[in-house]
Amino acid sequence: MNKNSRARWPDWLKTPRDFLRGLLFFGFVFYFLRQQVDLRLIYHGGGMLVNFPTFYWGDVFFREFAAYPGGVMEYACALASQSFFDPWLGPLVVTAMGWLLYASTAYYLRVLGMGSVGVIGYAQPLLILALYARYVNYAEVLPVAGTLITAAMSACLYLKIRPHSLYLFGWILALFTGAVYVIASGAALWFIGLCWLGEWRGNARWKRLMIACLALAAPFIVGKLAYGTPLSEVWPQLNAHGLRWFHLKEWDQAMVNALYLVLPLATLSGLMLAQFGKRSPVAPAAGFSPSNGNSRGDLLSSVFSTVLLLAMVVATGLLSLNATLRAALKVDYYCWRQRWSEVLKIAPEAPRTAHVICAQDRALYHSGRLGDDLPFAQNSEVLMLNQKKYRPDWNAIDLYIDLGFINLAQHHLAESVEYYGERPLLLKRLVLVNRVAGNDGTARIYLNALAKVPFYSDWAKEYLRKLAAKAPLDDDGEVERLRQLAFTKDYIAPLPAEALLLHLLERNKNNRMACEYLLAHYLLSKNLPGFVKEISRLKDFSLGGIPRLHQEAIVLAVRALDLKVDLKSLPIDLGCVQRHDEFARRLKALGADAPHAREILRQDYGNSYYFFYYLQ
Amino acid sequence: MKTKRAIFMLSVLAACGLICVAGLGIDRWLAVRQAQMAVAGAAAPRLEPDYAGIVMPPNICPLNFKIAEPGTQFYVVARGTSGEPISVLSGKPAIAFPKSAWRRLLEANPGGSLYFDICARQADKTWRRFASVTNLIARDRVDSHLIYRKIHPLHNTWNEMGIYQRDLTSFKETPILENKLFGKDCCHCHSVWNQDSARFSLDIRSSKYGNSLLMVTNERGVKIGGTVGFTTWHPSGRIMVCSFGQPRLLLCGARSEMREIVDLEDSLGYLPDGGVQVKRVPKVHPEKQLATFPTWSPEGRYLYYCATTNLWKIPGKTRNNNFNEIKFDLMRIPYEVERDQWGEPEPVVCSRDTGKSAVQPRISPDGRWLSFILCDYGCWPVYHAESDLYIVDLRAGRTDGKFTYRRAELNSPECESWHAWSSNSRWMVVKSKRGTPLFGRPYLSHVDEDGHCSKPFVVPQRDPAYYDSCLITYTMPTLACGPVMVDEAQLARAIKTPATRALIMPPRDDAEPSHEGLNPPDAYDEGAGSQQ
Repeated sequence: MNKNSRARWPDWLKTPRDFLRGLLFFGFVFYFLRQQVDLRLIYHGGGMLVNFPTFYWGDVFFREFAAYPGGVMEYACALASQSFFDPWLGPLVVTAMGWLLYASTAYYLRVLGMGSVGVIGYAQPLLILALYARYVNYAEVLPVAGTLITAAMSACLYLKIRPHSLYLFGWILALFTGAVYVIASGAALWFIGLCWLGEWRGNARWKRLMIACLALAAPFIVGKLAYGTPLSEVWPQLNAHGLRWFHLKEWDQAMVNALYLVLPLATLSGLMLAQFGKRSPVAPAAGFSPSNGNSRGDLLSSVFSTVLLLAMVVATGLLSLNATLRAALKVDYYCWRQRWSEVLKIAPEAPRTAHVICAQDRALYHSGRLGDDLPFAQNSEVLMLNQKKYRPDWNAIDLYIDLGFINLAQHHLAESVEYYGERPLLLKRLVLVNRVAGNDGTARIYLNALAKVPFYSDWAKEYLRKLAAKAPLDDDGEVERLRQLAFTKDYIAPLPAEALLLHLLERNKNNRMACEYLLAHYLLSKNLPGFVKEISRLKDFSLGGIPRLHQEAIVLAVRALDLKVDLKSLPIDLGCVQRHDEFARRLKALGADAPHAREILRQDYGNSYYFFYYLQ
Repeated sequence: MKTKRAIFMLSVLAACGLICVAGLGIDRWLAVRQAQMAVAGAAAPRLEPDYAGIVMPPNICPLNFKIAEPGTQFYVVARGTSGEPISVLSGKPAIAFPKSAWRRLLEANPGGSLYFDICARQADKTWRRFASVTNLIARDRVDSHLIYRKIHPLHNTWNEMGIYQRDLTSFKETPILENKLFGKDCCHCHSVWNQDSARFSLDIRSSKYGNSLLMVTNERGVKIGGTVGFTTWHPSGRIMVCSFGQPRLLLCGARSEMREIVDLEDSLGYLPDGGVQVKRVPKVHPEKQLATFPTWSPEGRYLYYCATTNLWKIPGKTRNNNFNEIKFDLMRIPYEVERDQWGEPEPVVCSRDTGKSAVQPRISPDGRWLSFILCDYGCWPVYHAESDLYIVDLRAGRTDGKFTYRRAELNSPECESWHAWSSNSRWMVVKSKRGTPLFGRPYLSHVDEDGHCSKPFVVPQRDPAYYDSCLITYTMPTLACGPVMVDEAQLARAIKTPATRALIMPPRDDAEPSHEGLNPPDAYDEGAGSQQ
């Protein structure tokens, strides 16, 4: 193979070293997206991320997108986003988009004869990685990348086939602009811009530049004729994928804008170099290897450049990662999947929000530890997520389903669907609550919708089939259990936590979660008379003994408040009593200086109810 | 050599193509032949949507349906007593009729029957022929356009909604106003003047641009600042009556439809066309009564509305405990537009007679029929499964002085609520939740000369399975004689523009505060969300 034939090859295949560098670079990007960012968390959303695109199979959904310019690209991006459901497919799709963006940028620069600055294309996948690692404007990444790929690829194609005749040139450019506008609306602006830059160095430069400007009329004509868009509305549509100033943190916005600007800035700087530096930036090969790479120096240079690129991936991945948000997302992700041990393991890394604390307490309950360990919540509003400020509350949905507040769960589901979109997770829960409520007709609507959602389709179709055939369903047991818990006596929501939990226990005294949450509510509100009154409910559950925390509360009630407790033969551990007496003695010795006592006693009694009752 | 080879290859390809086409044609011909020869059975096929035994307008778009019977191939013939039958052979149970052939067939058979002959190919490759499905094509045309709002089944939060118009003669749906154009706020109650889509009003609730009433005439929207509820134009177009309410959403802990709406206050006022000074409708006492759902009789001599005692003025009565005691009477009050003079209110349907609450009255444009909804209590039948549509013969009422109401035939075990008449008084569109207690769909029903409603059918869609997975609910369907022509962007601009004029409300003359207002606000005390 001679050098000339190799020059026609794409940059990443020119030499084994280029290929290897690309492979390693994108391999690292993939690894970070898979292991560190974990795109499944973005798909999950956890009530923290909004605007994740909805997608349904079928022509009805597609027609909605086809009805306006740029809809095709939005449809494609919505489809691509669904891949985030899968731990491997999502990172693969994003990596592929990053590679396409890099490749189209490098190719465009090569078409302009500026292959030497092609390496700048690596900046775009890095920016994509950083944007996903921030978990903020993830919904914009694929549309922006798609817009840029469409613009760059179309510009490359156009620059390859552009005719010499100015008349033909104008027509073809207008045709291209119109087509790009239909596919990705805002890409038309970038396309014209890239073509304009491409014409900078050609013959009849000024005429061509003027015609390129005139080509901007194409979207207005296409918009009016094909979509009936008023002329005044075309420009906002074009600008929809332009440089937008989001209401986001500056740093995130800067990254989105940088993603847009990489290619035009690289092109401009190449042109400036050629114009004012009186030398051409044209290089025989792209990337860091200007020669054919046979010498030892080239090898070292190639190794160095590869290592540098990989270091940049690592640095980008680590520095831009929003670890606390990731931990909060993970808590909710595991919570929805009832992986309680993982919830308890991850939660300490997450910010101390009401949702995280509530999830921890749910995990404690499901691990059988809510009566033994102090709840993470410091008050029952957090324990029950029943404060007004927490609405619409994605995170309350499963808590309320768990407890048997089916209607309240449905309320939060309806609010969440409106706020977070028609997310499959929400639709799946809506199937459950409607089945519990006996609304099979409504459940069918949600199932039919889920049957059009990638990755949920098979489950929904099978469910529908069994529902139609009145065959046993996997969640029949759960539906029946929840029906046993759900209210039958109507009331106007919301009621205070205590009243709600007592209602639940009145409905079904075997609702263990309601019982433990009621006791936890009393403990958190330091309502020992209430606690003592309800503690005998524990007899309804086959417990080995009274949980430690409850024992401590009982001892406290008897010793400190002189309350009578009907334990119904449930034994109290003598050690608990001794621990209380020891705590009371030391507390008395420390006097009235509460902060000082708190500091001294935290070590030995920090996990006891005595400490919580007196010192928190 | 190369050219010859290319020609040879092309010829081979063309021959293959021809063979394929011919094969498919023969296959189709054979399938049709076999289906036609199948012996008709006694069982009728199940169709989804249920388009069997209905009366359809002669100008309706194709009634595409899904055959809910097992089969690997389906053959359907739509035929009338005259005109060219339409035959459709489909590998799927979804059947779509060609639009132009459908139109020709309906036009050839006004007042006649339309039959669907349906055959399904079984797994053993034999054809099963079902009993013919018979429908009637009415002579009365339905108004060409249906206006409605599409939203999710909401509680307090809303995101996307819009007012849309659907061309009933085709499948074309276009937005009149989508809330994404003005900060995702709320656009809701719309009122069309005399079924003329050139003139209508629209209520806007916007935290960003302010609440307003959008008056649309001559393809131009004008914003008037202020908060109104339901509106109705006087047939002369000279005045508009509005309700001014304070709806609140309650959440019920146990019942299947958990939402309930109570009106804390509701009164009626009116303003002249082009004016902003609101006058109270006299003798409808806001200090003692809740009054809402105004609607004009077609000659403009009576304003019909719903009214009840304002319970919240009575000490001890609270919305949480007594919301199910509110029962509205259907009232009317005479009016002379020339003299701007109101008469004495008189009851039309009393809650003490019905034991229920009468709401959402509508009068057919010929003045003959008064339709309304009866539900157990309250002002919001949309959330009551027992809500049904009732009809009063006003002509008979004029003769014997008694308004006798009867339950319309179109009701279902689920909720029927928002409804509207066509301009010829022969069609009614009603929001029904049959089959899906959460999602309302627009149903059309023919009303004959005696006021009997035919079996209602859901407004057809291109994809017959559309409603099966549609998570949107349709509200306030209204029929109009033509399309709304106003530009959506112009309406959005009008909303975004600061209102140059605002409604001037009359002074309140009730010194007594609402006891409901003294109740501590609950966690959901932020308004009624977007009313459905």
